[in-house]
Amino acid sequence: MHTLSRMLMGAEPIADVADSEAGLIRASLNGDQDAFAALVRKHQSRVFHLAGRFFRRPEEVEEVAQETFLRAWLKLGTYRADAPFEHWLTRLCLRCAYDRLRQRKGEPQALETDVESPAPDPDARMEVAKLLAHLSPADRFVLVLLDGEGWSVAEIAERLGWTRVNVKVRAHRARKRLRRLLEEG
Amino acid sequence: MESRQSREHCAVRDRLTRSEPDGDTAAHLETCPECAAFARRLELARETLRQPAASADAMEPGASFALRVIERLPKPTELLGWAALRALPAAVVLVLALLWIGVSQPPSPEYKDLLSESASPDLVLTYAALAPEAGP
Repeated sequence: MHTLSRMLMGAEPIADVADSEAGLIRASLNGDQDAFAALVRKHQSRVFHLAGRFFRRPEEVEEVAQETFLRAWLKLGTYRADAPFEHWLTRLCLRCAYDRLRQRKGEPQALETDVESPAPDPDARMEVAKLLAHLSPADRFVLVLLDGEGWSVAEIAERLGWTRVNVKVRAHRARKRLRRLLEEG
Repeated sequence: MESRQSREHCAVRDRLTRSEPDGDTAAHLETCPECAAFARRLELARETLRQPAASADAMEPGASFALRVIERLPKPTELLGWAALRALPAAVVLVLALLWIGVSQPPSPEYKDLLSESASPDLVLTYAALAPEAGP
């Protein structure tokens, strides 16, 4: 199962998680930093895995994870308990990752994929990975969610707070560019 | 003929890119080495996208990660200062609007004649007589 799907499904019994988590959230809202630290410890692993989908350098993964929790602290008042906290955190983390990728728009794109894994045709894999490095961060972001995580347009829209039309347009553009790269490469 | 083939390649690659291959696509791939090569590269690209960018080590938070986050949280005074700073533009606009209203307000009709240059001494005396007396 993919990392994000695991993150959204969770592994602990829902009632226990909800009870303890709701208390931690309430305490954090009252400024209790110890309670917030407990929330961080509870979700840090999942946030790291999510950030690791988009960034290779450990310091960037750490930075995105820290930024996610920093935003969570500042925006905790906007969290509505009708959805799991993890979903809310997922959205924050994806937004942080997306913002960071967009900030790097003008910079040369690093090869953000580990291509050392065993493959039937390592040369071809390396070549494709190099081609993917030419994708814009925004295109790559959408393709990771669509093709990497296997999320539907509706799921991406819901988890990112984008409209479905917006996701469809982005997905269409990203796939078109991917296709052109693979045809020309 | 060539144009028809080209359209077919295009349609097949469209379906492959949208992850909607059908029977026709599979049949085409068996006979068209170019599109088959494209399909292989596309599959490799998707496999690459499925892999996490970071290594397993990079995806493990250190033992003191939560402490590092807590250290970065803004202090309550910083929050207050930041909130005040954020409210500053609105406050400036409000003050300017009040000033503008005060300056641009026409004088009350009751005193309009008195303030005009054409007010005669009789008129001034009349206002003085009608004005409430000061003192006990």
